Amino acid sequence: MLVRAFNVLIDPAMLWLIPVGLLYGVIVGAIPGMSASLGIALVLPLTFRMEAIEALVFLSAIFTGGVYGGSITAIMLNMPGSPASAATVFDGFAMAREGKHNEAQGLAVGASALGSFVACVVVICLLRPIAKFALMFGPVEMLMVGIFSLTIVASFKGETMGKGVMAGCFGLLLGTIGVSWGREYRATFGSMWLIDGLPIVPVIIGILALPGLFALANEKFVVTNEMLRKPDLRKQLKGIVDAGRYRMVILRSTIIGVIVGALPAAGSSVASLIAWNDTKQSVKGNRLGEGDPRGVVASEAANNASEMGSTAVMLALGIPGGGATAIMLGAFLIHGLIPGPRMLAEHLDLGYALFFAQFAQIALLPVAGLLVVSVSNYILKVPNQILVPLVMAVTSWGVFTTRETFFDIGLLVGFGIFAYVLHRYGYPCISLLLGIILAHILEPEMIRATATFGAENLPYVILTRPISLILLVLTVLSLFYAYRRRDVLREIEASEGTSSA
Amino acid sequence: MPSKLSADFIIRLIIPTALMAAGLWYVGSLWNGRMREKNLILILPVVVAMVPFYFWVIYFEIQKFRSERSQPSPAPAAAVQHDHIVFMAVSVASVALFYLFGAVPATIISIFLGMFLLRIRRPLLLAAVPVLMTLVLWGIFVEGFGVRMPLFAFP
Repeated sequence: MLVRAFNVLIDPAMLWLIPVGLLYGVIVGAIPGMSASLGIALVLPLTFRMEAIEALVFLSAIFTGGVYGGSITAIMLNMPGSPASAATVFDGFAMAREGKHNEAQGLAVGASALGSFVACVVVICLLRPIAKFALMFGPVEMLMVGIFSLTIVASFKGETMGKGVMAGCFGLLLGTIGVSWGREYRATFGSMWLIDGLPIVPVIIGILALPGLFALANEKFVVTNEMLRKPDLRKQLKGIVDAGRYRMVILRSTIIGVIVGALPAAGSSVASLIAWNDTKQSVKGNRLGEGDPRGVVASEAANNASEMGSTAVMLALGIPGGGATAIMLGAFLIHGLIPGPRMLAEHLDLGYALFFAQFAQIALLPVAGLLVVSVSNYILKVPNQILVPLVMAVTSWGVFTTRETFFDIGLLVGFGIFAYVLHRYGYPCISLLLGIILAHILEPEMIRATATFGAENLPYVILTRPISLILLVLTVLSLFYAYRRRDVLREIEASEGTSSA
Repeated sequence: MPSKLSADFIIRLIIPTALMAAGLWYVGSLWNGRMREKNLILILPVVVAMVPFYFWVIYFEIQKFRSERSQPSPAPAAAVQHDHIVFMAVSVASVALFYLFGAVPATIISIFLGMFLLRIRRPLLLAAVPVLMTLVLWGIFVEGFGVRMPLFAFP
C-alpha cells in the first residue's frame, strides 16, 4: 500500500503542483489579513478538473506554505500574516529590531520545516491512534483545554497581574458577541456583520500589529542600524541550521501542535500560543517575549505541526479542525471521496500519498520561503514615513478580503486604537486577544458539558475522567510555574536594582 | 507636571472602570433575555471574576499615583508621540474614506495623507507612491484573487 501511495506521487504533474502551491501559499500567508484557508478557497475552482490526489496535494502545499508565510511579516513588521503566526510576533519582531531579522527568518523556515517533518512522521505512524485519541475529547475535555489555554494569560506581565486578568476577562466577553445559543443578539448593536461574532483576522491584526505600527510612525526605520538592514542569505541559512539545535523545543512544540491541531476548533493560533507558553515555562533562563530565538522556533514548529494534526483527523474522521481543513474536506467531497473511517479502509493509499507529499513540500519549503524572504527583506530599507501608510493600506485591503466588507477595516482600526490605549496604560494586549480566541472554545463546550452532565455534576466529572484530570493538573502546574517565574523575575529585578544603586 | 500626573491618573482610573462598566452593562442587557442560563453561562462568571480584579487595579493605580506624586520630580508617563496620534487619525479617516468613496480613492488619499503628515515633502514621492501602490493592490486583490471590492463609490 505504501508503494502504491509512493507511486501516486511520481506523477509528473506533482513536479509543478507542489512548488507552485507552496510558493502561492507562502505569498498569500505573508499578506496581512489573508490566511491559508482564504488562499485555498480562492484557488479551489482551479482544482475541479484535476485528479483527486493532484487537487489534494496542491491544496495541502498551499496550506503548508500559508501557515509558514504568516511568519514573514510577523518578523519583519510585527504584523502576523495569518492568525497562526500570532505567537511568532513576540520574539520574531524583537529579533528584527535588534537587527537579527535574517536569523529570525531562517529560524522560522527551519522550525516550520522541522516541525512539519516530525509531525508528518508522527502522523504517518500514528494516523489511527491520533484519530481515536481525538474522539476521546468530549465537551468536558475540550472545556479543560480552553481553561488550560487560559493560563497563558498568567505568563504575560502587564503592570500588574490584575490588569492582565481584567484584559483577559474583557476579551472573553468580546468573544461572546453575536447570536447566542439561546438565539439572543448579544451586543451586535443591530449590525449584521456582528451576528457571527467578531471576525478573528481584523481583531488579531488590530490588537497585535496596529499598536506597533502606530509606534513605528515615530521612528525613521524599523531597524535603525543601516548595516543590519541588509538581506543576508548566509545568516538566513545559519538560522535554518540553528533551528535544528533547539531539538527539545521543536519536539515538545510539535507534539503540542499535533495534539491541539487534532482537536476540533482549537486551531493553529491556539497551538502556537500554547507551545510558546510551554517553552517560556520550561526553558530555564530564557528571554521569551524579548527576542529569544526559541520563541520563534516554538511558535513556528507548533503551527505547522497543528496543520498535520488537523489533516490527520480530517482524513480519519471527516472532522475539519479549522477553516483550511474544512475547505479541503469540500475538495474531497467534490472529487467523490468522503473522508472518514470508510475512506481510510478503501483509499488508505490516498491518505498516505497526501502525507508523503508533505515530505516533498518540507524539502521545498526553505527554497520557497527564502525566495519570498529575499524579496520582502527590502521592506526594511523603506523609511517608516512611507512604509507605515503602505502597510496600513495593504492590511486594509487584506482584511477586506475575508468577508468582503468595509466594516472589518473599521474593526481593524478600532481594535488597533483600543489596544494602543490598553498597552500604554500597562494592560497586556495578548491577554485580551487570548480571551477573544478562547471564548469561542469555552462557551460552546460549557453549554455542551452542562447539558450532558448537569452543572452540579461537572466538578465530579472533571475529576473522574482521566484526560480532563490530566488537563486540570497541567492547569494548576502552569499557574504555579507562572507564579514562581514572576517571583524569580521580581527577585532578579530587585537584585539588579540593588547592584546598580 | 502635577496636572499632567493627575490627568494621567484620571485616565488610569477611567480605563478599568469603563471595562467593568461594559461588563456589567453586558450582563444587564442579557438578564431578561430568553434562555438566560445559556446566554450567561460564560459571561456571568467572567464579570463576577472581574469585580475583585477591578478593585485590585484601582488600588494599584492609587498606590502608584501616590508614590509618583511623593517623588521630588515625578516621572511623567510615557508621552504619547505626536506622530502616533497623527497616524491614528489618518487610519480613522481612511475607514470613513473607504465607506464614502470606495477603495481606490480612499487608498490613494490615505497613503498621501499619511506620508504628508509624517513629513514627506517630495512632490514626486507624494504623487507616485499612492498611485503605484493602489495599482499594485488592485492588481493583486481584484485581478489576481478576484476579490469583489467596491473600487469607487459616489456618496
